[in-house]
Amino acid sequence: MIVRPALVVAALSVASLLGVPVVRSAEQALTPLLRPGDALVRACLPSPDGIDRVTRTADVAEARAVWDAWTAALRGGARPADARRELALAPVVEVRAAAQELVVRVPEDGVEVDTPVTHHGVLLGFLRPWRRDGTRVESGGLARVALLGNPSARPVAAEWAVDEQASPVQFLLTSGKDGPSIAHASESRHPQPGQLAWTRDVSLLGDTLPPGLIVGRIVPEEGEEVPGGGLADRREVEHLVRPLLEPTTLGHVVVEVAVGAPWPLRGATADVLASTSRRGRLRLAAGRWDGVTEGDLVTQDGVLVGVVSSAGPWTAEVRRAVPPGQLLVVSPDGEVTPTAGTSDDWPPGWRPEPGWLVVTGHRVDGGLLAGEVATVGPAGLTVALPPIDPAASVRIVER
Amino acid sequence: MTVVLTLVVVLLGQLFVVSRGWLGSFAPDPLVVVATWVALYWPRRTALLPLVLLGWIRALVLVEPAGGQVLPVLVAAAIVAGLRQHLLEFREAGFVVGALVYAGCWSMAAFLVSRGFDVPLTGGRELVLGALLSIPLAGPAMNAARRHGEAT
Repeated sequence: MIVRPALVVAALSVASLLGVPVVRSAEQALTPLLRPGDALVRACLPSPDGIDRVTRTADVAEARAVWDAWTAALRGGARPADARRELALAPVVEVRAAAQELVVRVPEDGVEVDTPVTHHGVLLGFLRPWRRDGTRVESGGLARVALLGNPSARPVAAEWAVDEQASPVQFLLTSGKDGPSIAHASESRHPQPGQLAWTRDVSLLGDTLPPGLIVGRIVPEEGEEVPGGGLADRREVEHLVRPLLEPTTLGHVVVEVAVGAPWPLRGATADVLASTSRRGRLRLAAGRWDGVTEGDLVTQDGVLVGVVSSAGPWTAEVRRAVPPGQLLVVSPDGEVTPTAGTSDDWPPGWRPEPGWLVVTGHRVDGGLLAGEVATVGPAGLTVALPPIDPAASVRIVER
Repeated sequence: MTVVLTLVVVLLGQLFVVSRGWLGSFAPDPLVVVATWVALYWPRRTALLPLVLLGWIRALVLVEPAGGQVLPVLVAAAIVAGLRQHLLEFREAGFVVGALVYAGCWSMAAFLVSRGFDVPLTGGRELVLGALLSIPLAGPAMNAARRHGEAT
C-alpha cells in the first residue's frame, strides 16, 4: 500500500532535482514554518564578518561611475530620430540564437516597429512585431529584435570606402542564406577582406536610420576559391557582411524609445531569512505573491546580492552569482573592459587579475558593485561577490 | 504525532543552522537521530510522511532542492528499517548502530544523487557527526519510542 505514495514522492523528488519550476516553487511552501524561530536564530548566530563601510561606499560610487560612463559609450554614434524619442539601455532577457533573435525589455507602448537596435555604434538589428502575424511590437514590456541576417530584418542602405577621401561604394544590406549579404552595389569594386561597412544617410528618401552605424566587416563568401589555386573572377565573388559583435553575448543593447514611456518595473523589498545555511545561497522572505520571479536581480545598497533562482509563494531562493550578461572589469589603473565572463570575448593580450573590481548594472538602479575577480582560468573568470549585511533588507528588481 | 515530529524537525533544523554558523561543516546534524528513530520505531505503513517532511525541512534550511534530501532520507530509512529487528534486539547500542548506518547510507545516497543530477548537496561529515549524538540520546529516544508505542 505504501509503494504507490513512495513512487509519487520519488517522482516528485526527481522533478525537484531536475529543477522543474512548479515543483521547485511548491517545495518552498513549508518555509513559513521557519519564520517563528527566525529572530531567535538570527540572535544566536555569530556576527557576520564586518563590512568595511568606507571601502564599500567608495567601491559602490566607483561602480556607479564606471557603469554611467559605459552606458554613455554604449549609445555610440546612434542618435534618436526626433526630439520625442531618446536612446535607452534595454537589457537582453532571452537569446534565440537559432532564430537570430534577441528578446529585450522595453517600455510599454514606447517602441515602434523597425526601430534600430545598436550597441556601441554597431547596428545589431531591428525591433519586429512580437507576433509574426501582428503589428504590435511590445508585449508585456518585451520586444523581439531581428538581428541583421534574419529574413524578417529590413534591408539597410549601407556603404564602404577605402578611406575618407575615396568615394564610397553604396549597397543594400539584405538577408542572404548565409547571413547579411551585399546586394545592388553601386560599383563593381571589391573591398579588401575585413573592410568595415556602415549605414549611409538616406534621410532624403524618408529613411530615418542614423548614418554611420557600423553594420559589420565585409568578407568574401566561403567556397569561392577556384580549384587548383587559380585566381577567381572577382566579378563573380559574392560578399557577406560579418557582424562586428556577437549579439548573442550581449547583456544590454540600445533602443530608441518614446520620451517618458513607462518601463515595466516589478520590485519588492524583503528580509533575508536567517534560518538557512549554505554558502552562496540565501532565502528571502518574499515570493511570487510579492511579485518576485526567477531571474530577478537582488541588490543591497548598490551591491549585487545575486539572482533569484527559484520563487515560491512566500519565499524565494537567491543564488549568489553574477547574472548572465555584460560585466565591466576595472583594472587598478582604471581601465574598464567589458566581458561576458568567458575568455572568448577578452581583448587580445588582456587578462584580468584576482582582486580587480567587477561592475554590473541595472537599467533603473544603475551601476552595481558585483565584487572582485576571484580566479582567472583558461575558460574565463569567476567573481567573488561582496559580503552583504544579513540584518538589512534587500531589494528585488526585474532585470 | 506527525505534527509534533514536524515541529521538532523544524526546531532541530534551526538549531543545525545555528551550530553551522559557529562550527561550519563540523556541526553535527541532529536530524539523523530523528530519522533513525522514525525508521526504527515508527509504524512502517505511516513512516513515509514524517520522513518526507524531515528531508524536505532539511532541504529548506540548507537551500537545496527538496528532492536531493528526501530521496537519500527514504533510501537510508528503507535500509535501516530492513535491519530493524536485529537492531532493536540490542536496545541503546542498536539505536546507535542504526544511527551510524543511517548516516552512512544517507551520505552515500546523497553523494550518488549529487553526482547523478549534478546538484550540490550537503551530507557526509555533518551526518556522521550527527549520528554520534545518538550515543547520549539513545536512552531518551527509547523512552520516547515507548510512549509513542503506547499512544499508537
